[in-house]
Amino acid sequence: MKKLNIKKLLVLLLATVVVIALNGCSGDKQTSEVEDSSSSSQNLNEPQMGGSIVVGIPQDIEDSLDPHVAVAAGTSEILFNVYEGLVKPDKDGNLIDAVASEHEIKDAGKKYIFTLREGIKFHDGSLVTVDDIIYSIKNLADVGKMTSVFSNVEKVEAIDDKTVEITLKEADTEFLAFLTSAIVPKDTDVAKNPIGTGPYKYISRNPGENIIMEKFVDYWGDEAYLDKITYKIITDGNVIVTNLKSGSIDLFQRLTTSQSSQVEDICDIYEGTMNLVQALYLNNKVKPFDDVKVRQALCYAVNPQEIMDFISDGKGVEIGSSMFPTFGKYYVPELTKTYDVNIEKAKSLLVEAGYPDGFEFTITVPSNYQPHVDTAQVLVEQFAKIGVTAKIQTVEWASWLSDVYMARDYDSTVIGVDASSLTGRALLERFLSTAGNNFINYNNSTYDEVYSKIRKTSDENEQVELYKELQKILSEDAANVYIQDMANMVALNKKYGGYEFYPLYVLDMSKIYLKK
Amino acid sequence: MKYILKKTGFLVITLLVISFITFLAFNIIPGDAALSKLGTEATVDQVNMLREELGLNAPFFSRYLSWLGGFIGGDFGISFSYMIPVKELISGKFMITITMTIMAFVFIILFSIPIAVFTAYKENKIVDRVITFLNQLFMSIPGFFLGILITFIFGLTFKIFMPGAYISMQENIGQYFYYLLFPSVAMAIPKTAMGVKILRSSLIEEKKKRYVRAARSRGNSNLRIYGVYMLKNAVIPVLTFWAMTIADLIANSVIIERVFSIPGIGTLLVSSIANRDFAVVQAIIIIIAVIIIVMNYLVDLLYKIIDPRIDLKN
Amino acid sequence: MHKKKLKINKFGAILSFVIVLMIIIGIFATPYDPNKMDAASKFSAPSINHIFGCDQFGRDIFSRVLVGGRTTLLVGGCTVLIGAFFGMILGAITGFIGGIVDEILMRINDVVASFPSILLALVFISLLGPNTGNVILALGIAFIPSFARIVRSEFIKYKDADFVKSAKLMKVGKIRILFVHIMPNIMPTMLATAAIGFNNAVLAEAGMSYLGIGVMPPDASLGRMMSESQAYLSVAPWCAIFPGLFIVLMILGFSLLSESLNRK
Repeated sequence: MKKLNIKKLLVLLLATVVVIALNGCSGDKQTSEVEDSSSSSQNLNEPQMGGSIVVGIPQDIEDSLDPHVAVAAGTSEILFNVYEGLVKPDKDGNLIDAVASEHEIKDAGKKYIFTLREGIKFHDGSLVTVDDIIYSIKNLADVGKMTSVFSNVEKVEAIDDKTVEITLKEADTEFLAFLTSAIVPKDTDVAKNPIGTGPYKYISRNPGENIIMEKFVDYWGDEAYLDKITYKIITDGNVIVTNLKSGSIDLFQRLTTSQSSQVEDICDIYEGTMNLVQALYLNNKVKPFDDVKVRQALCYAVNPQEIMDFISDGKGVEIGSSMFPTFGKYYVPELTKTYDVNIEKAKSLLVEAGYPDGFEFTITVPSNYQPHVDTAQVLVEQFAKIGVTAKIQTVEWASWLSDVYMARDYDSTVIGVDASSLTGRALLERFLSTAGNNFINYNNSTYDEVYSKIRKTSDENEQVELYKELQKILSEDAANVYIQDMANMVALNKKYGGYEFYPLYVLDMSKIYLKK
Repeated sequence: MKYILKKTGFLVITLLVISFITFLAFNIIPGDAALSKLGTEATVDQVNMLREELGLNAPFFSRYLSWLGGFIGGDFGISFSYMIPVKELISGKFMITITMTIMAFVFIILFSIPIAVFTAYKENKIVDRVITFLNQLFMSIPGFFLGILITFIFGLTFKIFMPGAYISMQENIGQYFYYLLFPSVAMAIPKTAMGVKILRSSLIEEKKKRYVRAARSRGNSNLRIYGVYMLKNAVIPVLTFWAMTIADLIANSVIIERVFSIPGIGTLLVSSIANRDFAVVQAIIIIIAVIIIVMNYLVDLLYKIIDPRIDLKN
Repeated sequence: MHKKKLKINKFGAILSFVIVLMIIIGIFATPYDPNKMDAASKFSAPSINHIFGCDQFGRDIFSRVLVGGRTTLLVGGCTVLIGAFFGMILGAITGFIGGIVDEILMRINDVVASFPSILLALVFISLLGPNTGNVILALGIAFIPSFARIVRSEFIKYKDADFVKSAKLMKVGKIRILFVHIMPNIMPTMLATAAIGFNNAVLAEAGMSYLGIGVMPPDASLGRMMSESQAYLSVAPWCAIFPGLFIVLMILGFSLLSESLNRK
């Protein structure tokens, strides 16, 4: 009697499972079909208009949709498609006119004059006016991460209803690069209602799940190809591969080499760099890192190539100072040679510094950045070779921000620092002894001196030379143990093309298209 | 009744204590929402400014009381990370977690009762021994490991579902339930095993009792005896377990959501703690606490109804 | 019948013994240094050289599993000890004394019980920093309520027992009654609860290190190993499966063993 019951139940169950499974399978196929695909023609690799794409992003936008307030690199990457500044960067790092149709720099970098582009519209259809420009520039002096730069603006005024003139208190030939900051409609709460001039307009978001954008048909420039973009939030790195494989996402950046190698059959893999200065940042105020010999010893012990071999199949670019190669004209490649691996030299330096038996210290890493955690693990092994014992302490990101970054209560940390603007100072200003974000407590009067010379000259070539000298100082003084600009593997489903690397955290969706 | 009033009173007090402790904890741990939002671009001035704006500089008690006042009135506050009302933010996520919990619970009841009855009936025969061993095995598997195995076997090998491809209810209801099936089963299996064990031993205890023999001698079929008489009595100890299971499922959803990339309440809780998004964390913790406590009281009540002889105080 | 009972006992006992033995040996020596990286062995499949294969850094998984198992055992054991010890004291006090003390303490107990252990641990770790000691503390505290409740009901059961009454009549001190008379009767239930508690503690530790709380890298921890290897499931499934299997066998062995001990 009981048996019958169980048997019946099992059969019913089996049947249900089979039915569901069949359903599920066909359902899956439906979701991975591409909408809007035109009938197959023989022209492969040619872009076509229309279609949609799902872009995977590792983190939701948790700071703000207001481009002036947003600070996270990931947020800026997305907002790049929605907002534009008076100028915007192209993939080679040049500044091209955007909201402005032309610009002029006068008085050796003291006056900037912009002509408003004719007929340029915001996403709500209204025309951009000089008032919007003035409002935006003024706002940038009050909020966000550029306030110190924009506080240098003495006045911004409209010369006529097509021209805006910005006068600075102190001449700054790099100021133009900061004008990639967004122009927003006057007196609009763009955090709640994001309206810009970019090729895509914001449609909606579902917190923790996705953000949706659609093509802006009245865009002033080249029309974007894809009609719709869905940014899908995938916080768990472990499922990215399966998502790419199944086609539930079409694009993902900053993959590890093991991840990208798993999807080579379905995606084209583009290799670039992350545009980060990854280093073991040393708290220069804490013993024994206040001794340059100790810092140098650590540099001699570290083998960046070995780190790259373990973590990214050897891919990545070694760096020797606080600058990475995509910053073309400022970059000094020779600096990677300053500290070729030399265990003996490292040990003797330690003896000279008074640590013949090595010492112990802690490496604090944010637990949410696996590459940095992994790098730290390799470092531990490398330091063991010179008798130095490193202990890893993983902390939550919030703790890292408050304890390491703000309170500077740490020995050392592995982190990647990015450049927030296309300027020489972006990666170098923070090492001034007076800099507010000098979280490594670097204090070198020579460095400060050289830096002050830069502000005094308006000759661009001279400035570049000075920036290079700053990098040299950081390298020779072993301010930190510089490691690499990490490899950035981008997987884009083979149906699509058009991915371009930018020197900043930018993902230009307008260039991506569906192949015919 | 006075009883209900008393219980409700304790419920409220407990919630107050929990919310206070959480609030306290948030004020002690390093970092806060302002710092979190500003990230590496933060300077001391900017952080202070944002703190003013978000109201983080007000004294401890006034902040707690204003939050409490709002909460009682139904206003759960605003999420710092998303700048939308907390209620809006979590209701959608709760739906998802609750769906999974219900699906898991249905699975548990559906399977544990027949299996327990069957093995109790076949006590100590080979079938029973085998099933009991399997039971023990399944109880030893951590839910998330089961999830990983399910991902591997059904997702990657047999490909009947796409691991990581969570589909929301708005997009496609059928797919939504289909995808949630897998994490639900992963969560349900260890609990089912435990439920079987408890119910089985309870049934076996019942078997020995006199009324069973009496019922059998009256000519009742085994089915009726097991299914109606014994079950009614045997199910009592299991009730506690099931009630706690519901609470457990919700509380442990964090882990399983991570395995299957589900944007449920667990994931939101973890990210909100990381972002120091206080209002969200408070709301979630309180709701979970309420569920747990209510489940407890429900069980006590059930006990009272089923057997009025049982003195609830003990 | 009797023979069959012994059968389970044997399997459980052997399993537990083997696992504990492996872990103990692991304290002194492992086939390889669990933290040593070797680029050449990256992701190597299980072989004679590496029984469980190697992970993404070329570290031997078998050695790491032994070390990770040690932590799990440690955490599980300590957690149960803390929970049992304090739970027993709490349960004894409330069960025996009753009254207002009982009411208040039990309410506090309920409060702690309402906090899911994972959440409690999360908040604790954020407060005090992620290390094994804090994990044990957090989980231990989370486990006290269930022990307390069980001990309490046992004490209430025995409070009015005849032998206790007669002891009281003989003016035996309350404390003595607690320890000498009542405690031994509670032991079987306590042990059973402790066994279940141990299993839950192991599961909780695994869950927490899966979430990233607990033992610091590069040290091995079973849950963390599983979490990190999920990304490589399609290329190197052994990275995730063996740690998981180890946990399963550990819990299985202990629960089978304690099961059968209980029956006796």
